Amino acid sequence: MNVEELKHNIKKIFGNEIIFNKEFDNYAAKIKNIENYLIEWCTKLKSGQFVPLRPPKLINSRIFIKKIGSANRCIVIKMVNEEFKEIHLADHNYYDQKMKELGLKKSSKTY
Amino acid sequence: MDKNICKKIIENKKQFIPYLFTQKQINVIEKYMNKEILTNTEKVYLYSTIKKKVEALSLVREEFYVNGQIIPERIKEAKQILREINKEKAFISGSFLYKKDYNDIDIYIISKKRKSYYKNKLHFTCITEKDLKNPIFISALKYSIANFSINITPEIKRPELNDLIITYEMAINEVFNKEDLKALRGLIFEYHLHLKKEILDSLTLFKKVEEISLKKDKERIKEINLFAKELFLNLYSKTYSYNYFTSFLKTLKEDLKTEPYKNYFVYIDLFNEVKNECRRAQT
Repeated sequence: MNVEELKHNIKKIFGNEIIFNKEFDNYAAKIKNIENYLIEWCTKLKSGQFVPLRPPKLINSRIFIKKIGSANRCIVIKMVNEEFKEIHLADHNYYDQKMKELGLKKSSKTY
Repeated sequence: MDKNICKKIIENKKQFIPYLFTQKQINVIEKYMNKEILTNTEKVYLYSTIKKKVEALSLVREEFYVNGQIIPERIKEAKQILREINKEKAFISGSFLYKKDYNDIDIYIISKKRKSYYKNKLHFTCITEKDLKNPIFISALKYSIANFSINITPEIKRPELNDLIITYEMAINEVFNKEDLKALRGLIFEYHLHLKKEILDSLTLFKKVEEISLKKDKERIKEINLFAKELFLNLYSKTYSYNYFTSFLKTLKEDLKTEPYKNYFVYIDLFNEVKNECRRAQT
């Protein structure tokens, strides 16, 4: 499955409004068998099988995290009582940065 | 450049001149070590010829410290990696040293800037000398192969209550979402650090997490709640905790009304328990 196909399938799950982060294409192309990890997880997520975190700095959103191997992460942001809004796929450094922005990680860098 | 090697060269310069270094090269090393300003020619000299010789000498030094019970073959491999990366202060820790199947090899390098990157299976984490005082890195160093000895006074800081709550919530979510218990690892570490006054080494910590991961979900949640409750009750004043959890619970109950996720019920039960114990302690 190529990146465009993967994004198309994700849109089928979350709707056309879903926004992909800038680095998504790059990481989707780089991570082996990414579709195996993501499609099943996103489907389960949509059907309410996972519980979210409540980000202190984005109070009207809910955050879902998927670990992909030891180096990569996927973050999905959903608005409260609304649809899934953003999907972020990148490495650990990006994940740390995003978690800090959301208030889910201390601002001083702790590995 | 390895400053210990440079220091030894200067201390024993008579043995090095003229066989390994010229007098001029020794002068440049002395200036570099005294943090004197170098001319452009001296800089070229230092970073072309001298640096290469010092790096070669540091390979001969071969001082390794084996901290903890490590798989014997991995000791050899780890030493070889440390030789190849050839850094003044570095150590290898993590699952590579105690697990047959491991994901990556954690290599810590003491440097001027923080950085984290992967090179195939090698996960490099560059930390500063100051970071080394952080208990989390001491924990890694306590179970490691290092090219320097452990003689560090830890800098222990109490976590902010909101950060501890996030760690707790993440630990609960990991159980519901069937993920690796990474946040639980953090919670157990904080528990032993602050309440038992001990820094667990990475293998002991791994074993403690594994013990809980083998239990059923209900039991896991019970254990997580026990660790978290002890921390919440003992790290902060009762008045502060009572006020914090009172307002926190209000928001949480509002969130529950809008979208009732099952993890919220677990949070609410524990936070109510903590709040009530704080109230009782105050009266």
